[in-house]
Amino acid sequence: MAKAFRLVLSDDRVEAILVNVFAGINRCDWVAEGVVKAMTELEVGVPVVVRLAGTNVEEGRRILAESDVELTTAETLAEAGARAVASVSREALREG
Amino acid sequence: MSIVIDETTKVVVQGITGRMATFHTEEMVEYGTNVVAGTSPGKGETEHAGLPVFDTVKNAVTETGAEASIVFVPPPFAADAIMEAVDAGLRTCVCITDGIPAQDMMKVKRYMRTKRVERRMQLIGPNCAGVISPDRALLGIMPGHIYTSGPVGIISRSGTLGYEAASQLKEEGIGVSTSIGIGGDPINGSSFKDHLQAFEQDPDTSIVLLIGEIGGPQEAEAAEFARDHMHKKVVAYIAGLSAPKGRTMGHAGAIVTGSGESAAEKIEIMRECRIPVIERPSDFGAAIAKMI
Repeated sequence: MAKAFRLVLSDDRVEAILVNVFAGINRCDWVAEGVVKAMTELEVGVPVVVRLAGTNVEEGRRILAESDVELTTAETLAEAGARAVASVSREALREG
Repeated sequence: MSIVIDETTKVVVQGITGRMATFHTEEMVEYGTNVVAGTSPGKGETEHAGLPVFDTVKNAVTETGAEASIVFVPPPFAADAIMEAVDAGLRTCVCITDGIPAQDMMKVKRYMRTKRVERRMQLIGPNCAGVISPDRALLGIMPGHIYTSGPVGIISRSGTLGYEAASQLKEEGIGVSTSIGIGGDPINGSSFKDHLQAFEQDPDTSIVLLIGEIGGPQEAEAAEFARDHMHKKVVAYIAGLSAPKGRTMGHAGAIVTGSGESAAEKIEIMRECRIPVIERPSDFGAAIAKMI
């Protein structure tokens, strides 16, 4: 996940990161741990929205809720998209 | 009547002692699937995850009457595992493995065709989510809790988009009869068309959602089949409208190399065959709710 964050952030047009995972063979707790680790290790500098669903979703959401990293969560795909877009607008307003 | 498996189908897990296999065997058992055995060469006559382990699929069939299998075997050996299932006379095999070389799959398909049509094994996958008939049985790696039982059949190359559809449908109070992941590989055991035929005959299904993506001829073949041979309603979503040509987008089979393989072209073909196309993956639930 840290590698993915680094890759995405290497494009300076990126103004927000949306992590959308509906886990089958993947697991939400693995994803959540990965996100927390990535955000702890890196200077992310843009809003992060995370939407988790599927295998071990309760565990994944718990890990995010109990972590220290600042992110927004969403439950559905539509909500995830809307919150990601809104987070960009909010940042733009803050800087403008 | 579920179209692939039901709560009585006896299942053997090939490669049961692996980490993924162990977790998903426990999930399947908890869901209610009739898992009766596992195989792991060299570990016969032991027990794993509360199930008897056999060296071979044939032994498992002899001792337990297993009729279907799910393959959790690494890519270098997975094709062999599928052919072993064929030899053991299984009716159905789901192969989860991602990364089986295309040439190996060609060998598997040729091998399957040497058996008589009536006795041929049905292969689902590889590189797929498997099959679920909600409230009856799970032969795959889908998260069971997102499904509810109902009249919508789903056939999808993408596992994740299949889950997205089922989850949104559940939010709308609409259930799924059977959801089949045919997988992301260019050469697979069964195509959209193969399962459309089954859904057309299935009394539990009244509408079929086809979730396709860039690459390959399966969606076009399915569209023509639906136009010419189906009475039940088919609706589609095609992923990859923004995919650049010539780039593999995740799935080995998701690459636009020839004409007719892009998402835009497949959507056009769907529309020509009178199959409504859902525009956004966040619209699965609402779009189907309008049609029911």
